[in-house]
Amino acid sequence: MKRKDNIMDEVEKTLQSIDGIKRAKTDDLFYTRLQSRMRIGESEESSWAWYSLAAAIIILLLVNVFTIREYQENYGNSNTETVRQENLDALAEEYQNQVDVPTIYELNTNTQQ
Amino acid sequence: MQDSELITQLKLGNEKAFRQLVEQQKDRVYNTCLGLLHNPQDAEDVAQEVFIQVWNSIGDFEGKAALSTWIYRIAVTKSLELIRYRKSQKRQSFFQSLKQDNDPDEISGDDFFVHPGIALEQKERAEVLFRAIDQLPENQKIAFTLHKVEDLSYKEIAEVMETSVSAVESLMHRAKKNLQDLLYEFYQEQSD
Repeated sequence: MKRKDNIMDEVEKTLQSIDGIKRAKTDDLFYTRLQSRMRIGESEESSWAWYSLAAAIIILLLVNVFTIREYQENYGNSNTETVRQENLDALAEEYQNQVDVPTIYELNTNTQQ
Repeated sequence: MQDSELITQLKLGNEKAFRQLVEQQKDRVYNTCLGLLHNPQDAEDVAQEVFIQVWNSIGDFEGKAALSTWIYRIAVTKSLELIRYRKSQKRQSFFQSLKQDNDPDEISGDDFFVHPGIALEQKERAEVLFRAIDQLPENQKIAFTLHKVEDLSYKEIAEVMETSVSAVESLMHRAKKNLQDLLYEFYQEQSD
């Protein structure tokens, strides 16, 4: 019983040990340290902004290069095909005009007349 | 400078006003952080983070609570974030020590701190009490620390914790009961 009382007494004294505690204080250079930390934070932030901008420009360039290549591959070829076909048609037409050879049907028609 | 004028100047980005605020509040913030974190270096780091957040988010301050209450709230939140981070780190290193077959007690046996505002003759008992406070549930620890270490009234604590005064009374009652049990257990083991 006495042991229990002793322990309870210790508990109470311990609970009261921080009564009247004084406020812990920082030193006078706290604001100076805070300012330098804020400056470091700002410079880190601005370098991050530059990295982000550089990354965005590189991505934009890559997308452009890719798009141009895709365009050339798809539309560039079909344009060449169209031009080639037009050339062939023109050639055929010209040939038709210059070499006026009658066909077998035309010959038959002429003979009958 | 009055609080309302100080807030207006802070919102305008006035560095002089910011310095005034820091000089006014730095010891309160540091003491609160130290009371919760029990480590002077961590308390200094977190106190700096508190003021950086105040500077960056003063635009969001609506003035529903007093400026000092808002700052206490940030200090408590930031301190709890660090406590949670340290706990997760401890858990990780504990499991690593199990993997590497080390003695897990080596990790948990870190040095303890005594608050610099404690009277010399009470330092030994206060160390035991702070160890017990560390084992309290989060909300009880906040209420008890703000009341005992920072000397805030139950009303002020209720504002910081965004709860009612009766809820703070209940938290304090449970905190004292838990501390009594923890300390009783501690002294019983000591006397065995």
